[in-house]
Amino acid sequence: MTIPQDPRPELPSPRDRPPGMPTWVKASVVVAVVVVLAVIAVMLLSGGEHGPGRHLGGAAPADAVVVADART
Amino acid sequence: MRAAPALRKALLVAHIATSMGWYGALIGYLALDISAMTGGDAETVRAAYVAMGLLTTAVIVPLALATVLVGIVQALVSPWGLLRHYWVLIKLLLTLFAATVLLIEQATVRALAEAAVAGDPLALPGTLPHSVGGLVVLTLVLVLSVVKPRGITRYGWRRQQRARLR
Repeated sequence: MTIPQDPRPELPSPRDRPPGMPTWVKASVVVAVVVVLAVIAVMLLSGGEHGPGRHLGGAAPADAVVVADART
Repeated sequence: MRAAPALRKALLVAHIATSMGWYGALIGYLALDISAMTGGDAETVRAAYVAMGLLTTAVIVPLALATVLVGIVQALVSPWGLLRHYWVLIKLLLTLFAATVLLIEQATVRALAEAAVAGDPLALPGTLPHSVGGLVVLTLVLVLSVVKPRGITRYGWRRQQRARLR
């Protein structure tokens, strides 16, 4: 009795194929992209300034006024 | 890259010490940040901002830089490698991201400390989004270090294949 041959001999064995990206990595990348987009959206909606000057300067920024009011 | 077991252990100890030192210092910073944001007494708030500036410059930044450097060297001489396993690669990316944001924000923290001394500290906002965000990122790094989820990169797989063929 002849041993049946693999009908798809041209396919590489699993050891010859590089592994795919694990599910947890793919999910982490999606979450990271969502978080980065959300942070960018918040920064754009808050005026976009993101240096030390945003806290300081002549006119108190809106969030500083809110914080100052909350303390009293 | 191979190293003697004693050197690998020493690097691992140094990596844990610097990274957990960074983590602990950030928790202390967060406490000061909350105090600065919610305090009603000007002197207490001023002291909190000054302490935040000192803690960042003298403790957090040096520990963060040491964590990155020691971590890279330690990974290169360990069996895990730096780029062969996803958990190590993602740890590296998260740590580099956290350290970069820290270096950028250092100027803000120093400016707040100076402004608190020179003027009304109650009018200043804190840095809560950054301190909370930093703590979240470092917690993720800690979880990856302990859990070490499975997954080998293509580079790691090629290295394995080359080792098998030898």
